Amino acid sequence: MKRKLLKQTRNEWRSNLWLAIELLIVSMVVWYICDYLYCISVTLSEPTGFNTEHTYRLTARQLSSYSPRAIDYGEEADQKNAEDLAAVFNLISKCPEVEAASISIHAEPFSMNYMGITLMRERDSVEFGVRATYLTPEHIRVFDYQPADPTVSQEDLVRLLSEGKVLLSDFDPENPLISRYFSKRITPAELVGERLTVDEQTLTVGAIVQPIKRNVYEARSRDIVLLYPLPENNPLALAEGSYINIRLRPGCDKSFLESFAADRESKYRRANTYISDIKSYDQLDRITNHHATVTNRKYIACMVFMLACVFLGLFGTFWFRTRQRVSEIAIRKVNGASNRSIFARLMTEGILLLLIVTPLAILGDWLICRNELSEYFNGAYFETWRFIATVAATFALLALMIVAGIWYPARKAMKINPAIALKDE
Amino acid sequence: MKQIFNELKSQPVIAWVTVIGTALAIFLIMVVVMLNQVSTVPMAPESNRDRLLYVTSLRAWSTDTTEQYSVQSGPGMAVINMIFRNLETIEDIGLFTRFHEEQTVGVPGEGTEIVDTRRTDEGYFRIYDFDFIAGVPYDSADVASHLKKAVITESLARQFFKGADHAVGSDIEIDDVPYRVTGVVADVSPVTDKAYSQVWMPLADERYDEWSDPRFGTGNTGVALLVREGEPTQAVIDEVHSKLRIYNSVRAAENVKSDFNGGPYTQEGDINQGGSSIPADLGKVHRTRYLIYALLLLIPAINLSSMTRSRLAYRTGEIGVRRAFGATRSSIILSLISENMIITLAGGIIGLACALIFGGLLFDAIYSAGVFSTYHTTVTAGAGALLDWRTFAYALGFCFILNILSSGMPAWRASRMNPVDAISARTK
Repeated sequence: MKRKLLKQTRNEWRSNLWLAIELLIVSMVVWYICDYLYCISVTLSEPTGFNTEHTYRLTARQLSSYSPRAIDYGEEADQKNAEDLAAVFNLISKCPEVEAASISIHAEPFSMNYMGITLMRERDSVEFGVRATYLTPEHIRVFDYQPADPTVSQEDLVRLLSEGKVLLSDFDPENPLISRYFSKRITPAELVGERLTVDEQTLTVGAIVQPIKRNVYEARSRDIVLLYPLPENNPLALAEGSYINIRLRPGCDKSFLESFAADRESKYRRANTYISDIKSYDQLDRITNHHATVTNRKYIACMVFMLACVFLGLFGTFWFRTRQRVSEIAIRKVNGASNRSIFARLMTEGILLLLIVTPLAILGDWLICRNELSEYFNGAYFETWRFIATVAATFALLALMIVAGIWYPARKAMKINPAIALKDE
Repeated sequence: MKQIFNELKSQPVIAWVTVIGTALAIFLIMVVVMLNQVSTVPMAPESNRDRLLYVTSLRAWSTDTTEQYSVQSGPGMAVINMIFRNLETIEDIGLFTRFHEEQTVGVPGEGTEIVDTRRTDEGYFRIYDFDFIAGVPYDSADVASHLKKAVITESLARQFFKGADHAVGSDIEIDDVPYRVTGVVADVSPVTDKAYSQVWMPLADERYDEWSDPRFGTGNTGVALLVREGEPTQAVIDEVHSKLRIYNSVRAAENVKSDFNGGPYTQEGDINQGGSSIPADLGKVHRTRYLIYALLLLIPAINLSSMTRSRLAYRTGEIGVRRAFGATRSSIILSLISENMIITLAGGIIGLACALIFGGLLFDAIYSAGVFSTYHTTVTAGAGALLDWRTFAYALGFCFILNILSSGMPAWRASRMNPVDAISARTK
């Protein structure tokens, strides 16, 4: 039986060769997309480190001096404008619907700003690079940042920041992306309570928080984040902050937005300071990730197209084959072949083709990795498990398409009535 | 023709698979073509894309090796005035801020709205053919004095002034500063990225611009050069480069050297400029594009050729008879390919129609100008972009290639069959 199958496959080599070429190209393209989607979905499934439900970003601005409404504060402009901003911020944070409010620089989710600084451990001068973010202590509660150490509570994090201590995000010292920043191997736990220096300033590490991504599409292990407290009682320091963030109590979104829109001009405008924009973080997520979303759609569309091609190709070819082989199938039936064995025979023919092509395709996939044309993920173009998983997924997808493509023609073949088919012979 | 219909009727499954396969292939490839086309083919207001050259980057660095300083931004006014003002090979010049900005506009009592704004000179309105529904653009005197005047879109005029006619002459507040509306234009889609905005205002005073670096001549302005009719674009590029050399020799004493990051660029070159100091590599862009086209055509072609072969297998007898009566091989190949072309065209028309409907309704879902491009309006591809003659030319070309790929080989093989075998195979 098996030898016959091989012989038949060889006899129809011309049409099989075309199918094989098609399977080979499609297999490589589908693998490439599987690899891309694998990397994306692993990244997406990692926790972001923040929670943006019921959160909003408010943009505060100062009137330009050209505005007829602008108040000329003269020499004291900076201090006075800062006090106005602090007053507006206080009003917002005292709204009954607002659960927590903060002012931040570079610490807003989905902001792609990157400010890198180098810290040095005072004790032994070990240096490492971090992504700096600046925030008022309540920011922890606005975005629900979690401590890495279960013995530390979220309240502790807020308190530590209020005491002027800095927080660092958790990291894996073995990760090549992280360790390249270190002049000596160091673990997060070793840093708690340590004094760090930067630009003649000394910081004390209060605790370690769970890793915080900038964006859902960013790998979690990418960098160490420094959370630097902005003093709540110093308006000038706060005025540097670009954004106000708020978390509303569940179920209050609509009522808050309505009352905020109504009071925006009367209550939340103070001298030159006003709120120019309010956006939910869900909205910001959609806006900033539009490009990534569109790219994903394109990749998925391309994969569906390739798979549809395999389906149609197999369907057409096997439709033709079964009709050409009517008498052969009839004779086999006469000789005692069951319907199931006819069906299985055709299926095996398709899968056999895929099995023949797969080693070549894997070689091609591996060459793509070798030439660094695959996705760069976890600091590598090729990872054994990722490669095995994506190759297996590609094989499964193609096998599924082949089965689906051959199904209908094979069912038809099963129904051949030998008496009618062989009447002409 | 009749023969084709009869043949298709006798083999409906194969016929449908062929037509659907063709339609799917043409649909997908045409969506890809459309995405590439919208950013390069001429369409209002950027109707002159064929004749426009852009300079949107200025790289400047210190030639003093101890200083180690370099900067990249747009060209500043001083550079623009020295190099671009009196070019002989151009018909006109327009200036604009390179990126649109997010600002709050409003009218007291009518609420506010966050919109995209852009600053330009008066030449900008000559180069791009905006559809002025009411009023006129601001003029050179307004631009020279940085007056608070503005052109707004029809949507904004409707929202804040109950129509274009009421808007002209009224004041609109932009970040709380009143601007006098001089004109109202039809809405512009972000796919025409240089013309796109919702509010246009005269260029700001560069002295207060954070992008501007007087020593190195950077600013935040983009320059659009309208090539004189009949003049080759290379002539303009050469003239700009020769002026740049003069500028560099003047600035050499101050250790300043500059270039335009590979510019002036055509529209296609400009949008393919890499972010930081990477000149556009159109060769690479085109190679990638052709590779994608090839993949999208080759895979369906392999499928379709197996369909064609199955259809031809039923006609071996007929082909044998034709050969026996003296038909030449080439005439058989030609007739088979042209018969197949009709089926390909049928599928092609369905595919193109689907692509056009898709592009007309769901363009926003598949268009992105880049990671950092966000707009406050929905991105649409207007009829002008979708129904461009080039789209149809591409579709026809792809159908033709697909047809040759999918029927050429089977037809060639069919024609080479020995007539005796062919006839006997059929009548067996």
